[in-house]
Amino acid sequence: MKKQYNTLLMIGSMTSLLLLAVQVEGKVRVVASIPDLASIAAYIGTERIDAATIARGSDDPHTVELLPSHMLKVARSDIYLKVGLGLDQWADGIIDGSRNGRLVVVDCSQGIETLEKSAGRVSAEMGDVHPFGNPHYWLDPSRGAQVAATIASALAKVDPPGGEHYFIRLAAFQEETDRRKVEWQRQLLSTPSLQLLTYHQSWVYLAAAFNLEIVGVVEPYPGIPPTASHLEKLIDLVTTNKVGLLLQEPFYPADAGRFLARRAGMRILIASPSCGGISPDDYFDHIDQIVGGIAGDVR
Amino acid sequence: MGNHFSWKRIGLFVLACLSSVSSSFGGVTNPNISVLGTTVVELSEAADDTDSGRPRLRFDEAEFVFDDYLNPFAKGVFIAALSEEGAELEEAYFEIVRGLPAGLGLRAGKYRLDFGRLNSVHPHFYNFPDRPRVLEALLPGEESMNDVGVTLSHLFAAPGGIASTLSLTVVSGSTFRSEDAASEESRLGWTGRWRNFIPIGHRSAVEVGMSAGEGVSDPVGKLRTRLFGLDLKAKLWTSTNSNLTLLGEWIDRRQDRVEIGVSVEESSGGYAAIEYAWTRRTYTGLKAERLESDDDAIPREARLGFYGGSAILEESTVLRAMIERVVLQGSSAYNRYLLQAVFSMGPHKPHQF
Repeated sequence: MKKQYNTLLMIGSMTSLLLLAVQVEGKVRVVASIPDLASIAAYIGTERIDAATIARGSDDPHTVELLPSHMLKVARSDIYLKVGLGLDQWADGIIDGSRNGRLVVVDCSQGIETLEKSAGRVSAEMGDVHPFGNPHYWLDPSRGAQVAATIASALAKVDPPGGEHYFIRLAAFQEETDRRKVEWQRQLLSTPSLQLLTYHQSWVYLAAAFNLEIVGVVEPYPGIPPTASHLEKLIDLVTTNKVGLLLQEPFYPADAGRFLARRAGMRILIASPSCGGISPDDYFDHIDQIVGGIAGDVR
Repeated sequence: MGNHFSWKRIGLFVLACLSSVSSSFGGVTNPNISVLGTTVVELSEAADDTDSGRPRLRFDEAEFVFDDYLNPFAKGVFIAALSEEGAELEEAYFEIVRGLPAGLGLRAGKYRLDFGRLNSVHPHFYNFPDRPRVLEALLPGEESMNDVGVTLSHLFAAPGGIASTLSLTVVSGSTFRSEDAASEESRLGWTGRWRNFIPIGHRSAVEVGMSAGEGVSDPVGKLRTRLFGLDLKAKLWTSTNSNLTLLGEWIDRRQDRVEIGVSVEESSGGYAAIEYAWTRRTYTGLKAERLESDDDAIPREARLGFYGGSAILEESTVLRAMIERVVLQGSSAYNRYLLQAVFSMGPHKPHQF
């Protein structure tokens, strides 16, 4: 009898400790597909949330392995932030694998005015085209502010007592976006040419936000590595237009870039489309670094 | 071949899938549809092979995959294969992915059973161009352990950051039934698997699994087959796009047989592969296999193969090749040469890089 009583007491104590731990922590747990969404969420949520990411800054956000550790992370979460527009289709496998029935899945592309939206039939003949538009929208700070609004609304729904806090932080985010954008535009004004070459079509929103002109893309079709003839065409293009910079993601092969650098005298700026990894962890600091790199390198 | 269906039946099945979605739920998109084709060139120098020394070109199969959500809580999958030998419904199941208590997952229907590392995976996902001989010889079933069943699974956190998954399947038992069984009847069987995923840093990991299963191979003679398996996979990233993978599986099979009374026939074997992905889409590897058995129909053998593969431009078309040395007990050793091309349309790809 005494043994049974001790066992019950032990189970009771452990349950109380567990409940206490949950209460003490009391944070909204957010997992995002990419670090940029997690960084924006952390800005909005501050100490009320715990934000984590699946892909890191140095990872290719198009291809992420479905690891059980990711599923476990999502199993313990309240909100999942998806990029949407077909970029992070892998996230569905992680979300389903987590078996988390109370998870709120937020598609951060909602309400975003997309670029390169396909008008007609989409086929693999066009490469890895995203029919609903280019999904790298977070690289435009104004669209980043829209994402912040979506995240603030989601957080307020999941954590109503924090609603006011989230919207105050959203206003701060929008203010910082406006302030930083003016600085970034001023920084780019002093550069004589705003033309550049990119490896993949990751940078169209960044280019649109800062009036940069992407004169060519190393991939002949999205997701397809360059051929020798395509590289020859690019050499003619950059020579004619006096393009001085190639903006390339760290996870794509470096050989084509090195070839262009050697033959056309281009500078290569290796920049990740996401924060973290080789970039700063903060969303604004990441864009700051890219703009700084372009301003310093575009001639 | 397991369950065969006529071409007409498969056609009707495909039409039924499509029409039920498009007509009864106006405005909802069709399920994801993918088609994969596999072409193989094989040259074997085996003395008992009638085509020894001559290359054979064959079309293995075309696989049709339909999958999508059935509702907010469940997904459905249909996989049919067409080959020169006929048409076969490989898998048809639904899976409740959320909403069950305690984070449980439930799958029911006909599918490849969760036993060992590779059984539940379609061969076009393997990095080597054919199924390891050990799996072919020791696991019951024609192309895989594939049966009608119900699986309950649970993912949980084990100490040390380990993601642990337990799954238990009750099957109709047809996959365990021996071809020589005196009756077409099946008796219920089961399989279970426990896998532990141990992350090492952000992307590298080691995964260790243990599987077991039991079923009736001959209901009349009340003969049973018991299976036990251990498996390991370690994937260690050496740069953004390069990684070293170690993969291995060991299987022990104990099968009742009738001699004077009932005795137990023991068979065991395993394969181990070491592989290096040089780039995101190109890899080479070395695979060794060893198989031992009391069963006269399964000769003792050892294999050593060098293999490699590459995706052409992107993931929709993959080329794989293997040179394999086969050493059979009581027979002279010979070489096998395999070249495989897998191409696909739709979201289901030959390989996930």
